[in-house]
Amino acid sequence: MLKGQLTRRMALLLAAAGAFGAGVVEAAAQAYPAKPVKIIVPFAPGGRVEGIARLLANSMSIDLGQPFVVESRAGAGGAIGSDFVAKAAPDGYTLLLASAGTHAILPNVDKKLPYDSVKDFTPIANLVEGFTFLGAHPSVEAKTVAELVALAKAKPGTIGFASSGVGTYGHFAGELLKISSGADLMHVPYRGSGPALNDIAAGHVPLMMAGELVELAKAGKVRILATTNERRWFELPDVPTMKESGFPQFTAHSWIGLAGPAGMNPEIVAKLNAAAGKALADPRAQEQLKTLGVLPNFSTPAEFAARIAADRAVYAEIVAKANLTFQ
Amino acid sequence: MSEIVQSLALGFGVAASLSNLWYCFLGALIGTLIGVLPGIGPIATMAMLLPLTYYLQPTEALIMLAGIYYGAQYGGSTTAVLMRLPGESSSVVTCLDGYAMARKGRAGTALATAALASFFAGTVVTLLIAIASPALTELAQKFGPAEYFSLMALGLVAAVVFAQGSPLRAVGAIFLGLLLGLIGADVNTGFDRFTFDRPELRDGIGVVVVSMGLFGIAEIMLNLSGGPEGQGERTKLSRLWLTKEDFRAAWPATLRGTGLGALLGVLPGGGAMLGSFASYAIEKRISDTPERFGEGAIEGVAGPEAANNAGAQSSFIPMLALGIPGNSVMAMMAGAMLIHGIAPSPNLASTQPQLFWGLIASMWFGNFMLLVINLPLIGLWVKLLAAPYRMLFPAILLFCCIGIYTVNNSAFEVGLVALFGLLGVVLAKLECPLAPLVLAFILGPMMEENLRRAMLLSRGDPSIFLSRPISLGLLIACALVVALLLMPNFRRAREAATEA
Repeated sequence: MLKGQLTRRMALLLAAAGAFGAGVVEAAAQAYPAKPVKIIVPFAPGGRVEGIARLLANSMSIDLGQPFVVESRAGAGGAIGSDFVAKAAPDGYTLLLASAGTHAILPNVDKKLPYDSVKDFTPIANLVEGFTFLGAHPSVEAKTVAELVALAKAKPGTIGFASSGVGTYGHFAGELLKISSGADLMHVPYRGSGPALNDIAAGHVPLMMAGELVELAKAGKVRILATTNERRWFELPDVPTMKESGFPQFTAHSWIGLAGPAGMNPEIVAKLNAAAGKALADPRAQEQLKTLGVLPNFSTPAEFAARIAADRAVYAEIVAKANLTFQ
Repeated sequence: MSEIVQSLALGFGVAASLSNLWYCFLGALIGTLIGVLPGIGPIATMAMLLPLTYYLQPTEALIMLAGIYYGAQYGGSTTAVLMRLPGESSSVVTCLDGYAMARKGRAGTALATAALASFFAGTVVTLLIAIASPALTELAQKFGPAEYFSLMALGLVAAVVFAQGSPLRAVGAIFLGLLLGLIGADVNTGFDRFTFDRPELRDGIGVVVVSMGLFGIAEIMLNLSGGPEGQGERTKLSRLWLTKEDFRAAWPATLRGTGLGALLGVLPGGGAMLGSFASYAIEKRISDTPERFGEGAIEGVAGPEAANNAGAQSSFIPMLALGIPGNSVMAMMAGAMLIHGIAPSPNLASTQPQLFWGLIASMWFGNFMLLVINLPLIGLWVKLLAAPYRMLFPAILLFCCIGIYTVNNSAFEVGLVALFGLLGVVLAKLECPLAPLVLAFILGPMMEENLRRAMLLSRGDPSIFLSRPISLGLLIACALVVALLLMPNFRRAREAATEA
């Protein structure tokens, strides 16, 4: 039958094309990177995430023999840059610095988010763990988290906590403190962390949960009550963790990792993962990371994928329990 | 006092080293050039150069970046005067009288005035940063949400002063500006307003996008449409320097502009930007001949130019004194420090005295270099105006597009600029003043944000605006401005009544 022959011939052809295609892909993986690689930072230049991207890019450029270029695509809390990468070709030449904000929080906050943080990305490696602190203006009469909770319970709804915006890590950490302690705190959102830090240093708002508080605390402008991470910050050995302060609910942290569009070649992923690990192992890089307020927390692609999914669920639970509504 | 002299001596020692002088010069030069290229602002340039600073010493890197920032303030006024293109949001005001002067063949004078006023302001504020940083920081810290709201309210009322002609049109322009400012996600709830589901609009529209479209692109379209104000009218200039009368008119305005700019620049957020608007409003208000404003009054160039340079420099104060970046330029400076393993902190002066005082002292050198770079260039810029317009405008448009695109790598914003260009043409045909629109666009979001924040912190009690002395004082000033604005109208109405 002509029809049968045709289909058989086509099947053969297809199989050959498939084999050839696979060969091309394999060769591409071995030759990778054959041209400059873009690392997208979905935030404005100058911040912590960009600093980490530069560190990574410098090391990977040397290691893999092609320039890794950092490009900032800021906007909509990181959604614009992340979406750009989600829609890019999964050839390994467009990568993203993904963060807890863009991949675990935004999917719970933004119902019109144009990407799915699990399905639309290939996780490559978690890079660092960001440290966040619960800070109070020195005029607040609380030296521990327990004292603060007691104070807030005595005056429900009057103690405000600043955040760098609705749906940011600082906002969610505050809501989590509310749910887990039963104290009624008031959320005071700002446009970015600069003005919020300014107001807590000046005492216009009494509380804030953020990473940038350490230097202010060293100068006595802010009192740090606890760190939200599971280990203490090396510069503040006397400051307990939230867990040690009686709040084991603080399990999700801020993190920053490397990801690409969904469907990347596993060999390229492995290559990038190894290069990222090498970048973080450099002692000079580790010193710089400390200044940025983060510590290396390198992981395999699978561990990173698990972390994204787990943290997304944690924030979903906070949204449900705190009864937060978003558009 | 001797401590400050010692510190300054240390700073000048650091800044006067050959390599630091070189990077200071480089920064000032790059700043001037990108300021002159329409659209490419200091933020985009600093972002592009940030990776290069990785290879420099931290002091060199910061000196160069700082030079780019205040150099761009100089350069930005050049295009504002020559082509009515505000290179920076703070040079929007310079478009008004600077461009009017250029049309009358006084472009050289306007540019020289801008350079001299900026140099004066830069020198004064460098000293101010060295001497009064702690005091100014304390003052800025007194500004909570309530004070900010009242300050913004005062600014908005003063916006009417910018009106040329009908106050009704000015009020209309203010409301249009406020509406445009509403676009984006609401800070308190995160809900979108007027974004039409475009993620690019969620952070609102950039000031540079609005002002470049309304002023620069619209002006090109108007010129090409060949109306009565077409290109033929450009008069040949006669002189590049200021006359004695020019000096007499410009120096008090420069003095006031420097003071205003320095004070407002300390406030984080839009402080530095407000200085030039405030200075223009005051100069016009206290002038015996306010009708000259908008027609090429030299005070309308000297005051705002001094204010924007003073503000640019005093906006370093929160960064240097507290380690808190007050605007995106300062965030970039903080980023450069972090790259070198220096955390921006309130203790910077004691932990890194060389860097801290070196940077401050370098600002004086930088301002001096800017004067040396800019004064000889004036002749060249003015010659540029003699080039045929049909060759000039495609280049201007090209630079605008490149500039806007590089800020966020976003083609959407290039389209927006074109849209605002069209709006600018429509508004020009309707004789609507643009400066009140831009001012309201800047102030509106800050005013709303601080109103709601103040009400949140006071648990819904509006008396917070009256019980805090600074806020009360600003609101009283607000009422006075309204009264002053209404008075001439009353008088006119009464005169009309008695004549009839």
